Amino acid sequence: MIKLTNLTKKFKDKIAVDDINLEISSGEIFGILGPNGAGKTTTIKMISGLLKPTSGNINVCGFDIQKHPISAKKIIGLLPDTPFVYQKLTGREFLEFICGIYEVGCEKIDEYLELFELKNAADELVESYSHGMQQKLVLAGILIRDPKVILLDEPLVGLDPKSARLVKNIYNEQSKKGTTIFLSTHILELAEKLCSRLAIIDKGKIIALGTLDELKTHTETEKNLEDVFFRLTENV
Amino acid sequence: MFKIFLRLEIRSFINKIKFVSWMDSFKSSFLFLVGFIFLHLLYQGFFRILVYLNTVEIIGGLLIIKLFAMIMLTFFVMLIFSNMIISFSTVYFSNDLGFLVSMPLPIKNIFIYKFIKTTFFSSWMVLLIFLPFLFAYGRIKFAGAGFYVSILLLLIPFFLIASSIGTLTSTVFMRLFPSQKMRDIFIILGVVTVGVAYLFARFIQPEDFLKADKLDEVVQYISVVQMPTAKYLPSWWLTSAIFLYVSKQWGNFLIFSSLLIVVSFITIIIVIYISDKLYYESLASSRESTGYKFLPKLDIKGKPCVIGARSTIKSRGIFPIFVKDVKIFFRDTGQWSQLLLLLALVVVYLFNIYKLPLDTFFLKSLISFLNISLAGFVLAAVSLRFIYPMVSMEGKSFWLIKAAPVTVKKFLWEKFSMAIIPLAFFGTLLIGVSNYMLNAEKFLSFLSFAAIIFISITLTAMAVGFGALFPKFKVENIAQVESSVGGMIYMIFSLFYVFLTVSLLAVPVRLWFLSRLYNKNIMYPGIIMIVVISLIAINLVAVFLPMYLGRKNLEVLDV
Repeated sequence: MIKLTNLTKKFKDKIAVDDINLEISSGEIFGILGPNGAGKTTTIKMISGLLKPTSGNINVCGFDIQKHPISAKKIIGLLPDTPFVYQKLTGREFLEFICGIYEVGCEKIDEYLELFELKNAADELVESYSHGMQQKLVLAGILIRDPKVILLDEPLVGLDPKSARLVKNIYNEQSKKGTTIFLSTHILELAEKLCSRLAIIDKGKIIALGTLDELKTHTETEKNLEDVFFRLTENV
Repeated sequence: MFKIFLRLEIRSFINKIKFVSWMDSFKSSFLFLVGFIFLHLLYQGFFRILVYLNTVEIIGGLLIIKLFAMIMLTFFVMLIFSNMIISFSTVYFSNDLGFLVSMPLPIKNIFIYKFIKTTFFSSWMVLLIFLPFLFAYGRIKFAGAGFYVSILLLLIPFFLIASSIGTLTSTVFMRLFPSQKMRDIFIILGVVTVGVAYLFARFIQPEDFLKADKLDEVVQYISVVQMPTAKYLPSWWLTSAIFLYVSKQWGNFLIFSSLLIVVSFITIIIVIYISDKLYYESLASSRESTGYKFLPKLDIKGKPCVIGARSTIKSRGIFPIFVKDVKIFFRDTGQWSQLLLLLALVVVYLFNIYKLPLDTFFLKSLISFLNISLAGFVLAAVSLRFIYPMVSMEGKSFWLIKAAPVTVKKFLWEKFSMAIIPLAFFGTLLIGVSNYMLNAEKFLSFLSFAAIIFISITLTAMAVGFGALFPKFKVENIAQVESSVGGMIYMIFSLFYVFLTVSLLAVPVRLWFLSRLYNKNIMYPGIIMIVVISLIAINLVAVFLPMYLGRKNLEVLDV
């Protein structure tokens, strides 16, 4: 579903992502963990086509994001860590815009507005929305078009506990439906509970990769993901 | 305290230079070069005017003073309004305010820091444009270094007075109407006021000062010219200081200089005193209010899915972006205010045409032809204000476009298609009404219509292309986009394009005029063909090259 081959990104002399190789299959929830500046967001931005890799390849459902960006983008849904949306559109208009640009029907707009408890604010301008509401609106814009791959950068930031639980359930359901979810997070608990496989990245390199159990085995003595994370990132 | 803020600004500036990319340094060097050429041309032009006026007996000197006084008055009014509008962004709505207020700093100090920033941002451009005037005058009067140093130092209180007035107005207004949306209304009102003031200035025709034949007696004319222009305003004090220094009237020079300095101190004390009482309350209230209280909202509820695929117009690719752009444009009150200014500009433009004394065939034809270039320059300015920022207006939401299955090429042509009709309409309206007023000849009417449509198309493409080549997605307000390096480069190229087009058009117009004059056909087809081919070539390059470069830039741009 997602295949990263020798993926590298340099910003001038600084290497943000260093020769990453990854393969994530259909229906998998894959988590990428790492300290600040490790290269998580850069990786997600490259997969979504927002950033151009310095070298290497990204293949999403058989489409090379550099060679066939339109085909690849049609099946990708991206939720950035700070999802800025057009402030002078209403929530409903934003979803209509998304439906239009991705060429899908608008029939499900009300359903998703209801699901994310945005129905009452649907006809208000987005500029009056809180960060969490905007986050949910963008997520509704992703789900409404049923993408095959969802990229989430810090997906729970700004969400209240109820919404956080809701979106976690949604991610699980999407995964069962066969949607691949690639998420980056600082919340180790989220990664531990949600992800079927994890990668720990530091200074642009993957330093550990596998299921939670495999990672625990990797570090031998550690009991939970937090211990594993600290052990691995401190050793680098 | 202020040392820290100053260090912060200097450090930020140094870092900006230090970490500048090769491309950015190239762009900046280009801008410096172009800016320098522009200022030099301004200097040369002004120098020639001053040399001429200096030779006019009796009234030459008076006219120079009058000219300076009017320029300084214009600068002063511009400074007040620019300070007023910029102070909203810097003093009340800048991104770092939350951080600053959360720090253990006296609120007064935060205000002063922002006040200084406002003064700087509002004044630097006026200073740059003032320099050619100052140096030209200094040169004709053989002034020494002391003259330049003194006048430049006197500009500081001049700028501070304007800044105090502008910032004080915005502070009082924010206290009275703290809603964020009131800022929009105020900007509208402000712009309306400027528009009205401009209209007023046009209608009273200050150029009458330069038309001696309108007054009955020479003595009366001299007395009109001798009258100070707004003698109670700092613009007159500064003008006087400039001329008193040159004429070595040190006593009076000191009086006017002291007046500037003392008044600047007084206004600063007043603004600080009042802001000390009002700033925190206004700042806090401005963050509490949301929603439109007075501005009408677009009724979109009756039209579900106009943006989306369920629309009766089948949505393919760019149509949703088009509808989105239209909605955002009409909801952005910053655009409304500019539309009002545009309206004022049109009225002034047409009024001037109406007032022109066109008694001869030659004069009528000349003005009809020059009207094309004037309309072209107006379109260039309008496209800079409305079309050039269109790409940048995507702002931080540009990630949505980049992540969407839409090619950059389609995205740019969407911007083009959104802008072309209003600009072409505006251009043909200007030309149509002015041709009607001028009672222009058929040939010139046809030529001007054809030319303005081509100019509209090309300027739209250039503005979109340059806007994509120099996008600024992280600005706080639209003014920062048009006054950016890219905006200025676009303006220079667009003006050059209009100039080139009109120069080429002058060839057939001259042949037509001579044909009419000598009553024989000298419209040589060979020459006309060369002109037409040249025009087509120039327009094709001017349309497709910026669009291509802009597309390439956005395609590789990291978001």
